Amino acid sequence: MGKNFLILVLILPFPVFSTVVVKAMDCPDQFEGRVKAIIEPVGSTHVFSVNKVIFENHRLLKGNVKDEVTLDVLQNGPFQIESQKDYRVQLRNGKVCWIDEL
Amino acid sequence: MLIRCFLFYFISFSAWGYQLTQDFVNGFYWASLPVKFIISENDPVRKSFLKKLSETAIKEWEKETGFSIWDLSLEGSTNIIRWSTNFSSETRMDPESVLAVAIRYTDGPYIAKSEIIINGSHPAFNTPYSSVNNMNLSTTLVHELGHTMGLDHSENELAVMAPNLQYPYNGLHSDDLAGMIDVYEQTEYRQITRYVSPLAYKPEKKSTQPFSCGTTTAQHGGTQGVLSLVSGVVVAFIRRIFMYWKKIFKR
Repeated sequence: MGKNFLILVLILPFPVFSTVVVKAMDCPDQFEGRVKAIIEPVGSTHVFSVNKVIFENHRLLKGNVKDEVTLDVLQNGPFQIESQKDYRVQLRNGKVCWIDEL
Repeated sequence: MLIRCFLFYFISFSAWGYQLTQDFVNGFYWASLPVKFIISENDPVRKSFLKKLSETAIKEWEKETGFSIWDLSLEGSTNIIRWSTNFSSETRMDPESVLAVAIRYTDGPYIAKSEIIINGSHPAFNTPYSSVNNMNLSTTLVHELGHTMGLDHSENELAVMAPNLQYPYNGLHSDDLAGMIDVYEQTEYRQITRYVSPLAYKPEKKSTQPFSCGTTTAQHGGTQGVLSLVSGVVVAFIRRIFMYWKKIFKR
């Protein structure tokens, strides 16, 4: 009895932490692609530095996305983009909603 | 009891949903705590409103963790919280889905500057109900402040650090607290040991470098760096066990 109780107590916390669901953001255009090139700004007049990131669209997930997409990505912002890496990109009107590394 | 305590923490340690930003994992940290922030806003009414909500957000983190993490000053800091009515053209991000963004810069091994930009035109902050606007803005500030310390998006959708706005907001989740305690203790440890990330002075790096909210990956640093990080984790782990025992004794 005591042993069973101990096992129950040890196991109980696990499902509490494992019942995790990640809700995806849902923007109209989504694709998975590879970064072909990153063009850093020269003499930018923008408030924040923005890189031009060129993605090759490898897999369209949703909406209408060209084979090659150029996006403005904030340099010191939420996404650290590296060349030749694969990402899942979500867009609306050509602007980034979210980028996840694959 | 000790075995139970150890196993509980062993299991829960690997099962938290919180994540640390890649940069924080790479060894960058604030040189001193609390981190001073100012509200940058010309409109005095909005400034006072933002200040009040920011103070509430800071207090919430600090009350729950017991740490002094941020200090909201009137001036004397380059760390800024501000309202933007031009969010999309400033950040180039989608104004319909993105509520705010935290921008951070590094200088050597340290996080040197941070800026929280609120998307002032977002419908979540402009409903006809001021209580809803306040709650959404307050939740957003709690979330963005977490980013400034090195917390990334949590995989636990109940956490305030999850990527989606929570409405109604029910307060910080244990996952958020575990994440903040981890980040704070690692920061403290790095400060004490004067840790310098092997990536801090790479010749090809500029003085400011991108910080990310991206998922964490292992760092390929030198042995000393890895050892420091491992020691930091061990110290954090021991402290967690200690805090758990304290909670049990309180009950």
